[in-house]
Amino acid sequence: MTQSEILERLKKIISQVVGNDQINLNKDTTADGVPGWDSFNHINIIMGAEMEFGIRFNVAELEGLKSVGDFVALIEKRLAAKK
Amino acid sequence: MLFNSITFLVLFLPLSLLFYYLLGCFHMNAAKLWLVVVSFLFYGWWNPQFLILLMTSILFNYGCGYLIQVFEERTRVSSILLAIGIVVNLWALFFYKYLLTLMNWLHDLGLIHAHSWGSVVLPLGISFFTFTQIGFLIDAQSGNAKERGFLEYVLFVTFFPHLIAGPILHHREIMPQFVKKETYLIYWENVIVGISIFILGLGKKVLIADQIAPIADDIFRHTADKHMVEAWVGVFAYSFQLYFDFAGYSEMALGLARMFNVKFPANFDSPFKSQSIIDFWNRWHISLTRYFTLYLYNPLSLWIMRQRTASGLPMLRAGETTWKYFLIVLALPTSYTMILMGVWHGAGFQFFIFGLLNAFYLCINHAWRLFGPKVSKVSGSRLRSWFEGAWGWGLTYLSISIALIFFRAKSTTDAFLLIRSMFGGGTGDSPGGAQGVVESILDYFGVAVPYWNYSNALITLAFLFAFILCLPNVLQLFEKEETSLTKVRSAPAFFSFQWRPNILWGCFLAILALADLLMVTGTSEFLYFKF
Repeated sequence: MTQSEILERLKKIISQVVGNDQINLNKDTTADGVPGWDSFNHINIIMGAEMEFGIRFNVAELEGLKSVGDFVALIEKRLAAKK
Repeated sequence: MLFNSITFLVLFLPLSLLFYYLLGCFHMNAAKLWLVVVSFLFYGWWNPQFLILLMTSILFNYGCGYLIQVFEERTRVSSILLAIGIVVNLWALFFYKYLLTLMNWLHDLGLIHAHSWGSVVLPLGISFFTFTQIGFLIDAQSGNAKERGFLEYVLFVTFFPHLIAGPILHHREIMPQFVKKETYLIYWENVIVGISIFILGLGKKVLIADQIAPIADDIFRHTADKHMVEAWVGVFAYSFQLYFDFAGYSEMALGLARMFNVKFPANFDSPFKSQSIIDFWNRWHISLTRYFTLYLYNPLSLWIMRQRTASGLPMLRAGETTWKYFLIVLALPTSYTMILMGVWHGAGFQFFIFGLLNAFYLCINHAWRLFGPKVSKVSGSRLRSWFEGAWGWGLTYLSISIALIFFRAKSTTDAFLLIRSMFGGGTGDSPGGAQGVVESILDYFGVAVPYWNYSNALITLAFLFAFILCLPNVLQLFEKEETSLTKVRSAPAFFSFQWRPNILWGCFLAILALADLLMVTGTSEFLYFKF
């Protein structure tokens, strides 16, 4: 799966979790830049990504997620590890 | 040794810096070793016998982490090693911090009958260096701590700017800085920026926090017999004392690290500007919030979510959340995390209540966001948005001030007595209620009221409010110098300006440094040192 495919699917998850399909997300977007992306919804987004991509994150990895781009890179890494 | 002592300022810091950069010219390992030696000296200055504890803790955790890294591929072995590491660390913390209180409590309940079991002195910074190293072990097990250098590891734990009271660092954000050669070469701009931040932090400690401490101390000494207004002044004064004490410490730590070419994560970002409790905990002791979120809240929250998913229950989207879902998925992990965060600060029952209160506040804040009325930010008028902001700010500050009573009081009883005094139930001879308020106002206008002598305190507190709300914080002042590893959250201040390496700032900081030095007593500990 390419990074842009991952990004598109991740965008859908984030929009659903924060309840706003109008948000403009790109790789540089951070949680601070998205209204409603707080610690509670962060877990919802992580869980959504785990279900969507059939992967499982390590707890220690989650702190390193500073932007949507980091999230995409981590999902890509987990998908590669699954193979 | 204290950052605000003459020995530190005149001898320790200049000599540490001088030999660090001199040795750095020859070999970076020599500079590293020097920094380790001075950091141990810094720690041992207070009580040399605890150096053995610190060294044992470092050796144990390095060994444990090393084995975890070696057995990275064998998950079962590394998980067992991690469990052993965490249990040993928590046992040490429990022994020094909680055992005696527990024994006294069991004795009071009549469950044990021994009369004396000696006393235990709390080693300085034990909560900080223990948590830093538990974080390292968890990171090592999940493959997020790769570097294995022993000298760098010792430096990561002992580096004196963070050893006693944080910020709580992640191995992965500091170790890459310690292995870089450039860290040990002198960059004058870093030294100047570091000194400037340090002077501002020292000013907050000695010129503000230490000056308002007597007001809070006086009122918290006897909480039962307080006049209503006196009690409120005491609560506000303590909130500001703690604020400026911890802001001062965090800035000094940031500045000291910068003098040695090291960047720390932000730890304090104008928390009293917060307009919600959620926002407050993202700005107050940021590295502690980050730690508890990462290693306690996230694992429990994820575990609950995964269990639900495995049972075939759906993950609810925004707008679909039910109260049951909210209680299980959010309120439970929040309460567990915040109560442990409270107890992390100390063994008394008042710290449990401090954590519980904050959990309660956070749950209300989250519940309001999820179930409260949805108002579009775009459609609201500017005036309405200003009032909402002011209401959120006032409510947040007041809630935190009430919680801080439990943080400061000697016991839960003392804390409740002060709260009773705040609502006019004090037992002293001074009148409470509306009469007390009127008399304190009369006093302000020169009408003598014998028991009331806090008019100056009120003016000071009003001035400090304005100081916090209108001026930029250190992270904003030095934003261009990329002071911290993490980004600033605060909106630009009312009076927005930046530090510049020019004569005006030089003169201001020189005068401030002189004032700092004149006010340094060398005896006033930082409030967070006791944790």
